[in-house]
Amino acid sequence: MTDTDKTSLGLELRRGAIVLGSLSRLQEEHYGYSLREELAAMGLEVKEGTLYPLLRRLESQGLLQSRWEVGEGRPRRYYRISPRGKRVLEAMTVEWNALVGAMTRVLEDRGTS
Amino acid sequence: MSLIDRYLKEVERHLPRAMRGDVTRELRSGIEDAVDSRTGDTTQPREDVVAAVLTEYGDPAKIARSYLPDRYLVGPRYYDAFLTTTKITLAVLAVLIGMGVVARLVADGTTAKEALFVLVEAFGRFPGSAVTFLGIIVVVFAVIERVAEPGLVRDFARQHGMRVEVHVPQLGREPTVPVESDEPWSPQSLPRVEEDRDRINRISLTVDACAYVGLFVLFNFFRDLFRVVGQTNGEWWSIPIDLTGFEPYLWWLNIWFVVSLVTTVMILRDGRWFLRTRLLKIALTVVLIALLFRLVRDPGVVALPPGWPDAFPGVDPGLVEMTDTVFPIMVVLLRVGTAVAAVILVIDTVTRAVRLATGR
Repeated sequence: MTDTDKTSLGLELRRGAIVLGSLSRLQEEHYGYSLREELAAMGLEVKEGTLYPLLRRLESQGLLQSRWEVGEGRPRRYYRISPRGKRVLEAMTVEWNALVGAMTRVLEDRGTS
Repeated sequence: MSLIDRYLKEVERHLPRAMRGDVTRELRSGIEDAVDSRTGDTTQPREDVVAAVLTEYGDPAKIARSYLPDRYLVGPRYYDAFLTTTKITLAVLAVLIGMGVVARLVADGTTAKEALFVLVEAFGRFPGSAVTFLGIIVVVFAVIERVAEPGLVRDFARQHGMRVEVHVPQLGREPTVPVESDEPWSPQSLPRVEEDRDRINRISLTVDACAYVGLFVLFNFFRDLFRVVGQTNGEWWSIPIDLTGFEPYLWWLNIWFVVSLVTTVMILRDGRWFLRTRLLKIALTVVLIALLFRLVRDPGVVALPPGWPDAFPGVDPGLVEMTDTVFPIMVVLLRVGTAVAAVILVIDTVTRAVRLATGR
């Protein structure tokens, strides 16, 4: 497997996690940079070049709402989860937990059967 | 102009005008937040910190692209239909060019040099024509990709038995195509599996082989059997048909009979249809079609015997009158019949070529 394959598969694996993590943290209002810092502090590093476009896409899909506000002397776009986003987050959280449980069993079982 | 300004200008350059202001405003805010946060922790000059942050952001074109949906000339939604249309068009084009080539080869007075030129020209013409048609198809599908309602094309495609991929965008990714609703699906909707299409019909092929031999013998050794036959005053009479005008075509027909016979024997020996034998069979039919059309266009293929009726002393005047009336009608019927046969063969050959190209 090449490094490109690893990077590509890794991105694929992380994509859903970043969406779920962002939706979850945006139950409180954040601007891009503060959300990135919060996710990073919890161990989920996201590049700026990934996070900002992602936030706009989630907004265009109706999962987030945003507003511009001047904070600390500069205009910032603040995001918050929408009612639809909350429903999606709940469903995704259930899915995630089931997936984590299943994958834990799958990975622990490797080589024993 | 600062490094951040230059960076954002470059991002803008790759974005649609409507998005530029909003995207770069947010990016600027994020970049400045990152720079401020780091300059508090370091003694590095601010320019170096800005450069480090921008390096982490990466290539401005890549950043801009990540804001845009995946762009296709022909996307996954219509790719299957695009491929099918292309294959059908190229197959039909190949058949038509093939027929044109043979029609020119069998033209009166074609020399070997001219024949070679015709072949080389046809080989040269196919790629050019194929590219032209491909371009037209791409343009049509690119327009459909951008303007058509998803349901409209999907319904049309399904009505015509085409498979349509439903592209469901991933959550968090821009929907590259409108999401089509999941329709209820039942195994009953699965297409019927056709019987083994490669299986040969030995009886039909044997009849074909016998026909090739029979016609070869008839045209070459028993041409005097071609006669106008009638009955007057209870007596049968017959007049030989002059086939001198048919002879230039006989060379071609003889070659056609021999190659067809060899091909049929090959197919019987193989016991199955293979790509090579299918292609050979299509090529042979193309040659036959071109020959038939040439025969239809030529008014002098069959004629009454030279010197008719003076060279036939003692012939009943009533018979002469009847022959002069009936013979032209027979010639017209023969030409119409040949034309109908050629048209039926064209339809059959195009259908077979399309089926071969699309694998349906």
